Amino acid sequence: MDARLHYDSSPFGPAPWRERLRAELYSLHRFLAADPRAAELLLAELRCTAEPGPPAAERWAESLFELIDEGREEPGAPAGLGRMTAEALGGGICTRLYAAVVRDGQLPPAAEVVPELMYCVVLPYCGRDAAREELEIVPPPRSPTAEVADTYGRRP
Amino acid sequence: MRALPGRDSRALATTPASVTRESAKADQRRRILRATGELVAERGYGAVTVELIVKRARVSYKTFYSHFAGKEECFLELFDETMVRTRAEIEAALAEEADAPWPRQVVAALRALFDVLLADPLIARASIVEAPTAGPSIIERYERAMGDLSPLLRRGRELSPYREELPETLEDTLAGGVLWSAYQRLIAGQDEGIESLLPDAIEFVLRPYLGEEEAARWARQAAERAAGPSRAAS
Repeated sequence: MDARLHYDSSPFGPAPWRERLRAELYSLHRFLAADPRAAELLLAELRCTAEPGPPAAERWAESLFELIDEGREEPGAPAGLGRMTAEALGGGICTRLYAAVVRDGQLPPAAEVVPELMYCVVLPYCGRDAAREELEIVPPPRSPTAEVADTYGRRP
Repeated sequence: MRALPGRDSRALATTPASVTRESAKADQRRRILRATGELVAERGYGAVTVELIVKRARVSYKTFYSHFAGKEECFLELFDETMVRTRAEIEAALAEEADAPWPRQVVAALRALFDVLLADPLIARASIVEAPTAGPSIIERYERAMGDLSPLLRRGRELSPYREELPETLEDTLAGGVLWSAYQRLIAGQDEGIESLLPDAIEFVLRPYLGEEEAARWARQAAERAAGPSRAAS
């Protein structure tokens, strides 16, 4: 969420969609890995809500889905893709991370899980070659502002 | 001549009564589970108490505790029953398509899953959506149940020309995504939206294995079949 704002506010204009998405997922991974208990609660709240969930969690999920859905504007993206694709991909990411947290007590390394998630997200919008590229891209170095971006609303 | 009260006659005499007692007990149990499901769906697991359950089920505390040690055990039973029913429906659908190509088996499994959710959305919501809030004892069962679709999807790798590049955790992400989309509609009370989700869900899970066009073709077929022969022909 904050990472996305950071990327969007670059003086050179918004970064390409795939870069923003990748940054978002690495940032999300750092946040969840830093506090697995909070991660479990956040992801559980998103999945199980008889009552409306915490606004911060819902805003975060909506922001992630919106970002994924921007993939429809990528050149060559199939016209038939709808909002459901973005929600299912975002939900799949949350489910995958939640399973790792509750089952293993910790997340797999970012360099392992993020490229795999990026493959899944990029594939429907940008095609097979772009998805394959994502498996080879190394994690970006952490910027000085990453600490702020990792808080997901919890300012240090 | 009246029969003497021997062992056989006693057995005969008690049979109807015992059947009645058994069925009454089973009926109580059903009412308790139903009430628990409704309340959990309405209020969330944390807000449900045994007091609320016994009122809704119209049973006494004594009756409740003759069936369950407490709220958690009762909810676990509801969850397990729902999972057993869901697995049985999916297995039956797969058995009917045992000789069919893999994509058709995936379609059958997803359709069976969605049918179960639609058949009783309230109980589906209670036992599946709310389950992770019910404490650590259910988490393991929950995660196991959520992974049920993954082995079926994984078989698609054998057919896929892209199998070398497919990420190891692809199936968990795909299955999680489909279930997420369905559950979000259950949470929002948009039960009818689940049915219309099916073609998109089919395309979503088949795409990585078969490619865009082939996945879309299977999704279209499923949509046409759902629309029925007359509507599909028009």
